[in-house]
Amino acid sequence: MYATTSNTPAPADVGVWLSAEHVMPLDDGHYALRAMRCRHCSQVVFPASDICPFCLSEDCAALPLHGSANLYSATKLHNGPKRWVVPYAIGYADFANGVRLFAKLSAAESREGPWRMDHPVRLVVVREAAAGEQPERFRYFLDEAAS
Amino acid sequence: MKSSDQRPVAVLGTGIVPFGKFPDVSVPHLARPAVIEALRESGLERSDIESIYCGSALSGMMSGQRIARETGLTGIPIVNCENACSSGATAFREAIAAIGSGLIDYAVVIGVEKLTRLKGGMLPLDEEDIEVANGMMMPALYAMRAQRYLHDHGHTARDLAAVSVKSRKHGAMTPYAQFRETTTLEEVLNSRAIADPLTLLQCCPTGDGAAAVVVGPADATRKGEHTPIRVAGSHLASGRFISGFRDMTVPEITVRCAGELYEESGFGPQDLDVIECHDAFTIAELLYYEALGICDRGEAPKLLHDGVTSLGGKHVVNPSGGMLSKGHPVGASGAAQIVEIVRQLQGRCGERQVADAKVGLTHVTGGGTAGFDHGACCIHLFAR
Repeated sequence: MYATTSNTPAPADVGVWLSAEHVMPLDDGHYALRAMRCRHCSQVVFPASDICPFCLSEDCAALPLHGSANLYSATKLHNGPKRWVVPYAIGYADFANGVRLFAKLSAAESREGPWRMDHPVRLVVVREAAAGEQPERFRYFLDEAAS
Repeated sequence: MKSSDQRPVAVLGTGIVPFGKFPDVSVPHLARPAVIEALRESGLERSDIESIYCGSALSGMMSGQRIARETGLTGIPIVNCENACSSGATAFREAIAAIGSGLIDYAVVIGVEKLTRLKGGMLPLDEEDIEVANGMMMPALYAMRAQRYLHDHGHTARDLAAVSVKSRKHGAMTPYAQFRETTTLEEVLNSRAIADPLTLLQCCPTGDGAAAVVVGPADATRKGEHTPIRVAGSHLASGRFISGFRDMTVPEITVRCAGELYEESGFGPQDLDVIECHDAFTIAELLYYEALGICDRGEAPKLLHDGVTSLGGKHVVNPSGGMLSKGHPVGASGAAQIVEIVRQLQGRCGERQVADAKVGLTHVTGGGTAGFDHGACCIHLFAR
């Protein structure tokens, strides 16, 4: 069902669905999330918007989010919204281009135990092909960095 | 106009109901005893009250009017304030601004919330928010702050749990607290995991509650049974949107709000005898020691362990037991803090009385929104 950017299966209930405008195809066939950098005030924002929310400039450049990032903080939740399967983990990851991304992690814990701060993780973008009246759509999560 | 440039305002009467779970009590009936108690303490007639300011986040439309119907206060201007966890404090600020400017003389301020309407569980957040849609919950936000704080400063989960032990010790002496039994570090640490490293007893309980105060000019002829307590400063801040990196262990909205209030009022953290702060989770209280300036960064556990913030200490924090013992009926909490601090400064708090308390501070913040430390923060200073 899914064409993913890795061999890691998407967590069953991973969060929000994004439309195609929020991703950028990469040369290797995978996808990046579309963030933006304002050419006027240099602020970076995800998700990208048509207007910079800081200075209202419309002169914004697309900024791809993909690959490795630094896990700033994370937690394993044992309670969650009713539609979420617990336990699950969420965290913030910092990309070298200045964007901090909040996302679900691929599992409640990493292979070595609790997710470790200041360790690398990688962004995985998952594509679901169009089906009937449902256009293609995307979601994302953070996974362990390739060893 | 700064609050310090306005006509001085004082709290003339206070009222509060026991916090707990009361699914069969309506929102107006929840608030009614608090309003009647505050009116009685003030010594004013109902006809003296010119306006009502009612803070609530989840009580539905016109909670102030619905309460007025049950308390003989209909027909006067009513302002309903929603500002997440700062709703009650924001209502208070609006009232003192109206009195301070001379628009009115006397007002009733109410904070009320009935979380049992939500049928249990965690506070619902706006699903339009991309972080909420991706699994964010308020306990998770604080848990990530805690993870980073422990990581950066080498503290442990026991340091967090000690906040709950102190809270329950204070709460056991508070007639209107929801939890009135003491606890131990082991009980806190062994309670059910919620969001690592936070356990159940490190999270404020859900619940219902209401508090009210009557406010008026500080120089008015005293009619009530207790000494009026002057509002020495009032400040409201909203969150600043930051999309890049931020230090989650520095609650910038509280740092900014407190700093501006200290500058405006002439008081500083060294002056604070008693504080009611937003201890929705154990980590929050520690971070707010630092954000309010009563200790340096990374030093909050030492302050706690040294007893500085416990009864008998120099800066007593949450003598009521705070949200961890009272519960956090969102819109009520800010008003409840004000009731506690005013009564502390009046010397009426019995075995949890802070000795010779002269200056007190209330602090609420809240609202989980992507890109913000918090949505709103409201801090008040009181002095006798």
